[in-house]
Amino acid sequence: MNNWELLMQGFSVAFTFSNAMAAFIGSLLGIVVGAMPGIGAAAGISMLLPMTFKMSPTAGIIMLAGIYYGNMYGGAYSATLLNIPGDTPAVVTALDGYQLTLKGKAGKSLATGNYASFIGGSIGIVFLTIFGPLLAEIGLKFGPAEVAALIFLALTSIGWLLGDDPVKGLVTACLGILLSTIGIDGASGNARYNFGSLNLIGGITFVPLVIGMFGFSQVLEMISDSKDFKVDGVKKLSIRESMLSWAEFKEIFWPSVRSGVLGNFIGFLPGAGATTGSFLAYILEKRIGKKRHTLGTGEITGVAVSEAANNAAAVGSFAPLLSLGIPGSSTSAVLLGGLMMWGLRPGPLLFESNPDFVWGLISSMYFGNILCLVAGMAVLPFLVSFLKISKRVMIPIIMVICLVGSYAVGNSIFDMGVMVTAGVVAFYLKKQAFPSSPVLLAFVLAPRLEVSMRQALSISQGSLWVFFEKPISAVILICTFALLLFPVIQKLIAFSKARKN
Amino acid sequence: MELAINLIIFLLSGYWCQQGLMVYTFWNKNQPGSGFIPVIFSVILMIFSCVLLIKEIKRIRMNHRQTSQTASTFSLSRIRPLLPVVYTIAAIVVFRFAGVVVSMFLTSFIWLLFISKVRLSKSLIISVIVTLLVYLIFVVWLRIPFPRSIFGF
Repeated sequence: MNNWELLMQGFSVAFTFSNAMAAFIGSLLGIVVGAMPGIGAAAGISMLLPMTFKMSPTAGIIMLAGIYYGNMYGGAYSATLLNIPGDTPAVVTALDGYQLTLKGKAGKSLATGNYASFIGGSIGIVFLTIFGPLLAEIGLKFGPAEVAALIFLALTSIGWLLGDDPVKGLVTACLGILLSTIGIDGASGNARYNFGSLNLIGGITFVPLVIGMFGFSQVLEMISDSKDFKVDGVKKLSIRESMLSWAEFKEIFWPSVRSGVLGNFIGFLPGAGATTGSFLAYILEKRIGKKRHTLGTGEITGVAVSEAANNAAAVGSFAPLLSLGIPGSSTSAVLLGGLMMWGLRPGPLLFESNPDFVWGLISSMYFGNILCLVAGMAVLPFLVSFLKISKRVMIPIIMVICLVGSYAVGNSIFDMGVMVTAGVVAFYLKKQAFPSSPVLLAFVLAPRLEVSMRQALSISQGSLWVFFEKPISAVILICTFALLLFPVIQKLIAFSKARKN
Repeated sequence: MELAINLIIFLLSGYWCQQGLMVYTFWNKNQPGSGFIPVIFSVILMIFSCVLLIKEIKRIRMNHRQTSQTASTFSLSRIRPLLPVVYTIAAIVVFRFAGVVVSMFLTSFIWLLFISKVRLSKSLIISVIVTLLVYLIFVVWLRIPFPRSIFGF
């Protein structure tokens, strides 16, 4: 069957009652969670992950994917109305979005965000339909050495790109790898690093770790920042006043398409994610856009490029996740953890072994993206009162969800302790500018890295040459070393320049 | 704080490395052992944390030179986030003995009323809604076997 037929088959899966409902609920929840300032997609998905246990894997992942791209829509709302991005990708949206609010055009900004998100999301989904299977075909040619090299590159770029200091990113990535070694060693069957505890023999459970790192640490963050959110200058929004004129729509259309394409390719790269996508799209618009001189002063184009790019990147991150099993962002790492929990192993074989699942998910995205646009426009009149919900009220609610969710996965009080510990550690690491996302990405990827590396070395009788004799792994490793050495070279160049001066 | 974090990471990676080499076998009969990956990445981690440690010590020294009086002040804002941690641990203890319904109601209600200073009626309504949602989703729908209280829920 070709892609078109598979996609049509996927629609028949996506349009079953349970899957369509999952997409609807996911999109709506995503918008709500995204609009809540400071929570973010990874936290939202991790807290809602236990609610999908009873669902089929397809319905579960459709709902989680809906939360993810719904979140990208919702992130723009608090960025525009409060100048507080709902998630980091919406940081760029706040630049023009909040200025528009101050000018009394909050509705226009929010509607622009919705349209641009839809355009970016649609571009992402079309590209995923085309490139996802292609990437999987390439992935089928990978042996253990290539897989190990690819994961090594992914871990390096994740450490590099997330956070301000590459060394700190790499430190947290290594921490994630060490955490993943706790428990039974898959190859020998021996228990490792369990400190004599029976609870740790199976390793650290994924869900409590994620809930702690992204959900509970958020509670601590909210407590440490005593400022509450305030909606200034906007009393009421109506759909009619928010609608864009034809001229305004024309103004945002091409920049949105351009940013959508750019954002989608950024989403393919491990670690780059939606935030990098929206920043780069904004920079591109500043260079070549018609409104480049007034960008940042309250232009709807500024909102459009950021939103189109972050939505396209969010969908784009599904391509390496489904085709190669490599998550592009912390949110897709949570999704990967969810998939593995349901017994599915994302990678090149997933397209062949579970076509109903993969194409059902991709097809649901077409439907979910339309749902998000409709829901995004429908919530506009209620947004102001929704955003008035105080942080003081949100804290105990998040706390309860974190507690119950972390228990639900393994019916274990120990897991609740893991959640609290992970939250505290992630909070203090974040305070010292250590990004927490690499911990999670490495934790998810490391078991595959270990298996592939050990397989490759066993095949080659212990010779490291196995990683360099095949062209694909050799090229990937050269890229990895270049990435690792880049900061050193950069410093050397700066040092020699300084000496010359 | 950063100094302490880097030191802990350095010591932790040292432990991982020692265990990987001495207990779990790094290399055996031309094949990697259980300690192979832990040793490699713990060594990398030790190097990186060492770099950060040196950087931090240099930064502290520079600051020390610039400001002659460096009084180490204990800031309350640093331990403020520990309040929900203690509170959550207490909630887990209550959860263990009083069951999910009672503990989750108390967790949200006490926080709302006494820490968030939300009105009594509003605290009560929010807590009841949250508990009801938890009960419906996790107990009725997902059938999670939570610990039960003496009341049977």
